[in-house]
Amino acid sequence: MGDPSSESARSRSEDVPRLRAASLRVSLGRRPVLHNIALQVFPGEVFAVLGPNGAGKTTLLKTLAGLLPYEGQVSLEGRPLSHYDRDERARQLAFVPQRTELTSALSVRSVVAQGRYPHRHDSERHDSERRDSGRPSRSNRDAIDQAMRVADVDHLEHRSFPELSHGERRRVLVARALATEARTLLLDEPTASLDIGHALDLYELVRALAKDNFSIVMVLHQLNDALRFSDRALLLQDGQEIVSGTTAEVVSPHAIEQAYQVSMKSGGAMSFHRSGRHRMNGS
Amino acid sequence: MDSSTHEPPPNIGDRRPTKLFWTYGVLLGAFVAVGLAALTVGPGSLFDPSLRDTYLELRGARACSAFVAGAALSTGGVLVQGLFRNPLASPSILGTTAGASLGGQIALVLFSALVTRSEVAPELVVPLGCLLGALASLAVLLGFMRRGNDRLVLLLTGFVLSAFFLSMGSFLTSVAQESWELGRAVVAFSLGSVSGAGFHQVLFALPLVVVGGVASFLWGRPLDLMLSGENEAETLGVDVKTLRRWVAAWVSVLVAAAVSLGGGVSFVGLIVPHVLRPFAGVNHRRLIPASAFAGGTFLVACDVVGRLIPTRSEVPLGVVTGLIGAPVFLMLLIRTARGYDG
Repeated sequence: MGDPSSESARSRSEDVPRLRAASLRVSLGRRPVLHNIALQVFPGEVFAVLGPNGAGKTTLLKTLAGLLPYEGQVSLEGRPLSHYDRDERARQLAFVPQRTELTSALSVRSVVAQGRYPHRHDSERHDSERRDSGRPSRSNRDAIDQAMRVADVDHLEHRSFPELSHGERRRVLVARALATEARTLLLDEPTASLDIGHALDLYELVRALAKDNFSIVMVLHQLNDALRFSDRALLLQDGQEIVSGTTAEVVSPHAIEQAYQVSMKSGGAMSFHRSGRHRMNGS
Repeated sequence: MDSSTHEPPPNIGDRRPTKLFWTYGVLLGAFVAVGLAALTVGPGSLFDPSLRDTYLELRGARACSAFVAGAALSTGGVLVQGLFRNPLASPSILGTTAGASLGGQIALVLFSALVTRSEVAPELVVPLGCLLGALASLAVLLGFMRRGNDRLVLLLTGFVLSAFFLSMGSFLTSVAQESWELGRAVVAFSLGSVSGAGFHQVLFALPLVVVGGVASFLWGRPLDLMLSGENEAETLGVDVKTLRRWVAAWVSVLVAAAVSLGGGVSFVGLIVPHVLRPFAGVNHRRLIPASAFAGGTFLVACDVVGRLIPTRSEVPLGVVTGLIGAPVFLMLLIRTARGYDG
């Protein structure tokens, strides 16, 4: 962590990481997909997961979201992920998929309200849990309103979800994640298929959330975006870590060549070229 | 304008209350009209005071049976359509309908074999057979789900079970042809009819439908989240595997009740929720009561239509639902397709 821009990250490193994985191994069927992955994500930090197609980025995100069985350790707020029940986990950790399967004519408000599902027993739950979390649990209505305001979708409240544009849908899904009151957000390619304006809006939202002490893990394809909007990063290839550290360290010519078989020229604007070593080997 | 004075509209749901109000208004009107028709339409005259009570009782029992069966099938349809995230799923997809049907047929055959020459109607033996048949097929289904609990396993197991039970049913039907009366009874049962249903059967089926309906309503919220897909529902706190098991169980109970009243009635569970979605919304806690009500009314109406068609014997209910259901369904399909374009 030699980068001066990560000064705040360094002071944070004494904190407990909000999300931590160590010697993480994941197999889909019999095929091992992730080998020995380690990462730590601290409060107020944007963490980028990078790598070529098929490197295991989405698998990693789904594993962290608790959707896939794994070997090794994953802990959330210092406690093993497997010790959480579903609702507890959903109140701490929210997953925003790249593409939702939702095609039903639900209103935007109803979609955001889905984020309140893990809070359905709030009135029955013992107050101690709320005191432990240090923040009072808001009423459903307030939480939904607030989430829509923060994600800037409140003006779409009564629109039907399938009628929205890609950019609007993505923001509504982020609003649903915020409505869970989770402090750790997992975003799978949040700007895929968005134009540059909508993509920038979304990144700005992500930065604002990080400033508000959220922890955000994003799968990204655009290395420029990673450099600009993430604090630290993990570069994967074939399910293995190539390098991790501050994003500036990770997005280095050597590592990029190794992972993507492209050469990177930085200076003024960054540019990438297919390196001579590249072969179409189907990986 | 000061933002603090801006009051958000109180409506949180998907459909404006007025729309829901009109939907229920129309349903209620249809219910009353169909109910009156069910009591008055038929060969005998209600003006004969000596026969009036008998007619009213027979037709009343028949209408009640059709209503309860229709409500059960439609509720089952909402459940499986929510579970499979497919508006074209029918409750028979799980194989428990065929199981219940086979159970009823076995009960019918066994009953006639054991109580030959008896005049006693198999009123309660058949419903019990249906329930046992549905529960047996549910047990097989849950057994397979222990091995691999996912949508595809459920779908394939249901399909195979359905095919197996239907073949068994056909076998039984052919065996039953040896006795004319029994053969007729078995065929009538598998074609679907509420003509022989009495209040005893309604009393047997009603608790199952009420419990199944309330349980379905209570599972409505997780089913709403399932609209976003299983992964998203899971990360939002839904226990998808448990949900799948319980939905299978409640669909079986509902279907058993429906089959015990009306035999093999197709199309109701598929079409009614589908038709209602644009009016009642996709929210399950609204769709389930509306579908139950509309499905019941629809089946009573089909029964009345079946009585009106002039044939020597009555047209079976399952035939009428198909004859009405298929064109209506196609019409709606065309309309919704247009709606998406425009």
